[in-house]
Amino acid sequence: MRNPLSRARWSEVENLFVGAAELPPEQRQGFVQSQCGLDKELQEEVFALLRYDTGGLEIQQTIALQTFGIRIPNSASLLLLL
Amino acid sequence: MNGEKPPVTRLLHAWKEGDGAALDQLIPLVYAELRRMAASQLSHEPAGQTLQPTALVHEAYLRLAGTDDPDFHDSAHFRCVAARVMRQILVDRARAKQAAKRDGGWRVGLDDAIAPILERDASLVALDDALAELARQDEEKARILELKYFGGLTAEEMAAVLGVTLNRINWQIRTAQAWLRRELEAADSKSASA
Repeated sequence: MRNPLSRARWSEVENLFVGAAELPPEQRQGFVQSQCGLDKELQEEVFALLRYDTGGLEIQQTIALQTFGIRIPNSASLLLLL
Repeated sequence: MNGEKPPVTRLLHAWKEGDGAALDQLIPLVYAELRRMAASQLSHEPAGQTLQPTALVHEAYLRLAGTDDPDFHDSAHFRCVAARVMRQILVDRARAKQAAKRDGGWRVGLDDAIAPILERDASLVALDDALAELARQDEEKARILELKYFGGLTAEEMAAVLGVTLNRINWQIRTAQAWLRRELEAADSKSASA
């Protein structure tokens, strides 16, 4: 169990996640790096979320991605039932 | 009904107008109906049957409101209440079954047939835990996913009920789902290495 980020910190992460996710994939890394500067921890939080982003696809569609070898967590398969 | 509104509709309207006591009366009604429907559905279906919480919640509204032509806002508000109740019912059931299994309360030979259900119970408990973690970080996002997974609200319905833009809801869902997948994977690898 990780400790929650402070409200201000989480808001930074969220804004950068949304900003990056709106960009074409090849521009995301550069965007996040330039926005975070030397704050590696912030960078890592944003990248971690981006790694689990499905690009706004409905979760049902991720089953198709999974069959092409893109890993989603086992427990997330439950979400397919809901 | 002599032209009078069913209690559920009356209570929903009172709650929307700010009457907190209406919610206290509404919850037991919703709870009783969902429990009854879930039990009936499970008893009539073969083992391994998957409850479809969002379908159940929708049907509960139609029954309680005595209509097959649901009002958009009433239905969405009802499912806001019902989402929390449905989550509680399903998770309590899953936890109880897990506990029964740990206590050796399962007959030998049943395990193969029951394995997929147990796996689902574990997933449901993992989802419940992950949503509780998300609520510690961001209560609004946890609530939104609860409405989506257990109440079956669409993004449009959430925007209307919560009074925010559809664009905001869509980003909330997308961010929350990324957070949740990360959390579930972390929980998976922890239980795999335990």
